[in-house]
Amino acid sequence: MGYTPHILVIGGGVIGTGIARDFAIRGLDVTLAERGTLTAGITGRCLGVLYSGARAQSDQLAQRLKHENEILHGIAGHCINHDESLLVTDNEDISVDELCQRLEQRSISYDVLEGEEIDATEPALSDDIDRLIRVPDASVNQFELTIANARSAQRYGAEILTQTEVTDIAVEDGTIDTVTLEYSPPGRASDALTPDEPVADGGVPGSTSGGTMPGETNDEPKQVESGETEERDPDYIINAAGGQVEAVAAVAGINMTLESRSETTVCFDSKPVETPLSRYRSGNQEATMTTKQGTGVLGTVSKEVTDQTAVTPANTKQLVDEMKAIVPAVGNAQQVQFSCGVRSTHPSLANKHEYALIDHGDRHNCWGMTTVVGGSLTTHRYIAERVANEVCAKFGISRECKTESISLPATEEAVEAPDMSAPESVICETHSVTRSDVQHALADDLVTETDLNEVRIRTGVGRGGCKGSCCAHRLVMELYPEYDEKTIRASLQSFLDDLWTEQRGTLHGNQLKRAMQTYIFQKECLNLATPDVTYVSTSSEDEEHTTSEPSDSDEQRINIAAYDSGPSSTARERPVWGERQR
Amino acid sequence: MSHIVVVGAGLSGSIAALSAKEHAPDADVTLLSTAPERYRYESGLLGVLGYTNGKDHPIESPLESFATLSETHPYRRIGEGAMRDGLAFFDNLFDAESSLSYSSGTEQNALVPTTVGNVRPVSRYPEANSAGLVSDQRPMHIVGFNELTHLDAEFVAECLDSTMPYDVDWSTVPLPDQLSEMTALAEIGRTLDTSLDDSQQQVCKDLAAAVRPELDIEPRVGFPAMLGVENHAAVRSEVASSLHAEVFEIPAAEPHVGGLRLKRALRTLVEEAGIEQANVTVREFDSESGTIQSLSVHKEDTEESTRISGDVFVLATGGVAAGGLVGTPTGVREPIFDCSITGPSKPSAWSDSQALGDHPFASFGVDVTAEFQPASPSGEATYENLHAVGTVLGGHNAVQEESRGGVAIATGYSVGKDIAERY
Ligand SMILES: Cc1cc2nc3c(=O)[nH]c(=O)nc-3n(C[C@H](O)[C@H](O)[C@H](O)COP(=O)(O)OP(=O)(O)OC[C@H]3O[C@@H](n4cnc5c(N)ncnc54)[C@H](O)[C@@H]3O)c2cc1C
Ligand SMILES: Cc1cc2nc3c(=O)[nH]c(=O)nc-3n(C[C@H](O)[C@H](O)[C@H](O)COP(=O)(O)OP(=O)(O)OC[C@H]3O[C@@H](n4cnc5c(N)ncnc54)[C@H](O)[C@@H]3O)c2cc1C
Repeated sequence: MGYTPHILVIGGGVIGTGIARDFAIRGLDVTLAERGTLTAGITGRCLGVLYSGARAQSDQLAQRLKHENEILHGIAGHCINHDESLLVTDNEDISVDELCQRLEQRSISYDVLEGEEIDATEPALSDDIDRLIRVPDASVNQFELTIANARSAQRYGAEILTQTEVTDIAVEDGTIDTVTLEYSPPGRASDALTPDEPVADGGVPGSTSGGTMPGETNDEPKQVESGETEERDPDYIINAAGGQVEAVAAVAGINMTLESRSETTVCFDSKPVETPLSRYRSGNQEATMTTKQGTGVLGTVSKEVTDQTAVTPANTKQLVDEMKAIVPAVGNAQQVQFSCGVRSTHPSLANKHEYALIDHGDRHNCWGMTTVVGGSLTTHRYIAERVANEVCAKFGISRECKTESISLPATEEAVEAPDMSAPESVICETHSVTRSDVQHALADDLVTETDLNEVRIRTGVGRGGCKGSCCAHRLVMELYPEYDEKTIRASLQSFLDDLWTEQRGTLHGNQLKRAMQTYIFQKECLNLATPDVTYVSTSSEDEEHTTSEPSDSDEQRINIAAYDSGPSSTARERPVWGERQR
Repeated sequence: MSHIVVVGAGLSGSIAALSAKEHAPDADVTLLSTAPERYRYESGLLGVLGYTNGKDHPIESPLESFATLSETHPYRRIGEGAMRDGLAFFDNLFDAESSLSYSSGTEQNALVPTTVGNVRPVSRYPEANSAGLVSDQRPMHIVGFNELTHLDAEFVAECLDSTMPYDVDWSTVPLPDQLSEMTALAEIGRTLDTSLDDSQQQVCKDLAAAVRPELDIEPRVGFPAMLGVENHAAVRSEVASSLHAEVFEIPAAEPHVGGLRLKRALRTLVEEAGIEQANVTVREFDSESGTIQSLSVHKEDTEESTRISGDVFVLATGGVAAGGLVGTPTGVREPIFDCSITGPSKPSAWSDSQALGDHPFASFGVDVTAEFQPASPSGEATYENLHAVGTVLGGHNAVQEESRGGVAIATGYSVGKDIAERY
């Protein structure tokens, strides 16, 4: 075959990266565009249960999940934190015995725990529970998994673009034409307060060869290029934008009506359980508790979203009560955050693992794009396989899917640990994150360095209750002096805003207290938000008024002599250099 | 003889108790507070008014800017005269002879450097910070340590150097061996404290020795705030004399040594004034015909409660950061007396979308009468003998204004004096 089609995958969630990987392994040209950080969408907010089929309603779905669970154990073992979960079931719904029978039929391994075994396995469980089942529902680190997918795709030649948003898709004569990508990483000059102001070194923000190319050495401090756009001409587009698939389709002028549902999880300050566990309910109503980077996460409550711009957490009281009944400690654990993931779905999709592929050539007379609706983390590899099969067929390519037998690379192997000459020092005391952990995360060539979320998903910094309040400003200094002061500030600001967005939905109880303490620290003590000013020293006569400054610059000149100069400035003499020479 | 009971031993409560005692030496004054854990979040630098509406750079003179404040702002209620008296009262408590001396120089704001290379306007600053004003125009040298990530000396120096009309240099050096395993600045501070007992004062000398070769002619040298907790003056002076330079600190991380020092100093002042202190949490109260009779208080980890009766009560429990106000899914409450609170009740309206925006939650607080009695929505005093001071007062964003310290001092002083004279 002479011609290799170029595929553009939109969306860097677990499904988008899975699709990019599949195409790349089959030898197609692949570009993946993600507008934020990988995992910025639903993937970063999900519970990360790798289902085994134990809970599935239908045997058919159970077989699919079981198969995928086994494959992912084989290729992504390093992303799996726990191999099993505990299922507590109330007799009113389905009894332990009935469940066991079902698991036998499906050939899913399990064991039944009783009495003291329960206490030995998970002491946090209520004493009222005398029987439960242990099933191979695993728990994965969705961040690792998604990054590993992207890295694997990259190894097979895919181009992975983060901080790159698809802003336009042109359609000519019923066929996809050019696609506009906008590259706008945090820390770019337009985030800073005075975009037009020349930088100290004489350059203009955005005109220096900024970027974050791996291995690039440049003595000038780096800056991030601002809002660059670029056109691409892909042969086929896969819209895997998760909760935003409708919006992406709309960019191509396609009108799809889907249902949006937000799913809320409750994050705790502590870890009420060691082993992931669920209170089983048939249907989608079960309550599941897992642990993420040392803290507990409880999910989920689903509700319909009517306005994507104003997603509020669902009422989680019932969810917490459900879990409290089997894990009493949940009642006392401090809730630090509610996290909402919005996914697009369709009434025809019977359960959360189901997906639909919408071929816009068939449906909307727009050849060259397929949208993925629904799906789950557990089934992402399978979905990718189906997508790639379908698209390859369109191009007359008959290459087999190989994703099930090729292992995903682990970060430790893929990224060389940086050579730290300085002594080891701690950046985040709460999560024991050190400078070398951060440097290691930054050394990854998949990373946009000025996006501190990249460091967060790799190290756990800023998770849990503290939200980076004490360490964000220390973390960002790891980019210095490689990047200049403005970039550092803009990057920090954008990171704090991201953390805040996650937090502000649920400001009550301790969370409001914490938010105020953080606000006091960042606003007063650090005074992060100081605008661009230059201080000058003049007596009042010889200084023209500040309004005579060029109007295109927000920079203000402030006369420092107008402020308190302290008790010592005039009273004491300057020490003499010679004195210090012993 | 009357009994004055102050709830909350932050800056405002302590000043209120001290002012009451000063103006009514015969009165019994009791200061009740939960363990003041939150001092660790405070740097010890006090703002009176750093920013006013519509300006984004620090104002020069707090007192001259009062006219721009809203009429319900605590400063407007107090008036300029009482405001000056309050600050003078504070200055007197923390004068050059006291164990923790604060500057009381001018009426102008001073600008201090922050760990991210910005400046912050403050009005009262401890001696540890006085050589480090960026509004003092002498060159400075900032020191960081390889092992500590709290302060990146190069970053701070470069930022200041490019914005200030004088040179700011920097160096990053290794910590002396004795300190190199420590990660908390307060721990380093305590080690330096005890090192002074050692006649060689070796650690301070080693610290200075690491820095000395880096200095040029700068007359002042800045460190991350870690130079002693209790013996800070001696530690600082030891380092300064080894360096032949003035030495200052830049507040860097919680727990802040500056806050810990102020806490100790306040505690001592309160003790010396003969004010009774108790580490308790106030939960409930008893009232009779619009007058508070007594409070029910709990010791830290016990469920046992005791009653404390009094003639007049001062609410100085701080804002949401200190537990003086609590957020619930249906609104913000003042948990002891259930005073009515200003501000939106729906949590979705509590915050700005930007992390450092003008958050409505920062303006939460009780509304008061002209006598600083918590007021009902119709403007009447809720209880005739209850007064509120400090951050628990609502209606203005004291964080954005940089006015928390000044509000605490001025309202604490003024209310303490009024009730002493009235009861
Ligand atoms: C609360 C919750 C819990 C869940 N728990 C589980 C579970 O335990 N097990 C399980 O198997 N599944 C679970 N799921 C389902 C699973 O998380 C999702 O199905 C899966 O993560 C979806 O991945 P995705 O790649 O389709 O979407 P996303 O992760 O949302 O990825 C889409 C990406 O597209 C990007 N994007 C959007 N617009 C553009 C644009 N214009 N240009 C470029 N990029 C764009 C977004 O930034 C986003 O990163 C859960 C879901 C939720 C909400
Ligand atoms: C050590 C220190 C450092 C400071 N640093 C700065 C600074 O950097 N910048 C600045 O502008 N201002 C600073 N200040 C001033 C400080 O901000 C003000 O003191 C404070 O914000 C307002 O004071 P407050 O007394 O109203 O409240 P807080 O200082 O918050 O004190 C409230 C007290 O009430 C107690 N309390 C709450 N509820 C109860 C209850 N139910 N029963 C009993 N006790 C209760 C709390 O434990 C707390 O001790 C500092 C003050 C101190 C003491």
